[in-house]
Amino acid sequence: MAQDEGALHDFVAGRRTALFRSAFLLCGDRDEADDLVQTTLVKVILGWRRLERLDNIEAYARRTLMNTFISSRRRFWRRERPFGELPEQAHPGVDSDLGLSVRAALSRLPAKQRAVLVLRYWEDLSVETTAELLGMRQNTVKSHAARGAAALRALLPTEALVLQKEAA
Amino acid sequence: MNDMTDNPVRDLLGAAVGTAESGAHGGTEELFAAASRVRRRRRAGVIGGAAALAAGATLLAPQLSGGAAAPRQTTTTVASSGRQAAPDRAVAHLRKQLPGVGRIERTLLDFGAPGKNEIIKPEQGALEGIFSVSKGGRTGYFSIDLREYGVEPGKDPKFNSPDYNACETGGTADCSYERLSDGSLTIYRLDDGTLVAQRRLSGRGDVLINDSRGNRAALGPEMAAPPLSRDQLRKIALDPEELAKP
Repeated sequence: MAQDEGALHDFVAGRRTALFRSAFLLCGDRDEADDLVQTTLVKVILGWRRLERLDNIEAYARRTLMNTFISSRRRFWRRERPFGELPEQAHPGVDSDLGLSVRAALSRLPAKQRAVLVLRYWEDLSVETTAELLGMRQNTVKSHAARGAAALRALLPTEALVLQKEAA
Repeated sequence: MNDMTDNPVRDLLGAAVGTAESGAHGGTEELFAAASRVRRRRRAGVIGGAAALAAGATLLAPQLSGGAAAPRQTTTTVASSGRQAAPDRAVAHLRKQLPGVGRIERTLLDFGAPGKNEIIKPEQGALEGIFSVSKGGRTGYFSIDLREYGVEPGKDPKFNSPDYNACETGGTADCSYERLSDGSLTIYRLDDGTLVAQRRLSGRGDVLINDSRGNRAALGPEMAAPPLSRDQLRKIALDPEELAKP
């Protein structure tokens, strides 16, 4: 049991930053992302005894993060910030012009579409795994991914796309 | 950013993340401690709930044995909340101010989010709280919260200024901004249809009201639209009682 506890500690410590980055993409706000990750990891700690293998914990953590995020968008105002406050809070090392524009554009997408984009393109998961994690049909995932990517590009100001090309 | 891939969407997301690191203080021990607190509270909730059931049975027993019909209790409450069942001035006031919206009751919703959002602070305004609104078998809710500035360290002060107009930045649906003599009022709509009113009070804090279709898990079937209209939301946001002491 002590060995299992050790593995859980390692998992929590090792996955925290990766989960935070996905959460940051979902929320667009560092404080909210921190809260989301903390909530997720506390749920993982509370529920890990029901999970038999470490890869189950990985999937459970991702699913919990996404579900907590999506349901937070139906919840109390404490979980929401006025959009206007999001892109202007600069943080060293994070906020390139392109980054700000993308986060602003992401915040305008529906929560489920954002979740699909993050899982498919950021976490690089397959359509099948994404569908399973979000409890969606695979066709729905494909459609969210295509529409989300198109909407993201459409919402970005032209200058941001120029910046992206220059950076490439 | 020289590490562009052949996946442009991933590149865009990468730019959005940058080198963001969690700002959370404390290591994993803090998370394990938080989990322990949740476990303890769950156990206490089970015990508290059982005690409340026992107390309820004790109270009901004489009425049942006497054959008198007990008045039907429709108030939504949480047994282990600790809130006293005293006459609720806020509920009475809101019912008077919002005729026809449905049955207003004070409620408690457990959003199950340990962490910074779980900080329990004393209520500062007479109308603060979460209120369910039931009509036609469906239940929505609205919440009122008075916040003092300074609770979010690191936040740019300009966002607290009554002159800051979030509507001008775009991105918020149905956004309206109104400059008031003692601050400003911004009302906007979230993705899920929830209406939010944010009244900024010059140099003091703000009143935030969330007007939501409901929470199916806690309150049952949701309403088709938030229970309060935009005008009613504005009325409550500007109600002088907001700022009265509880």
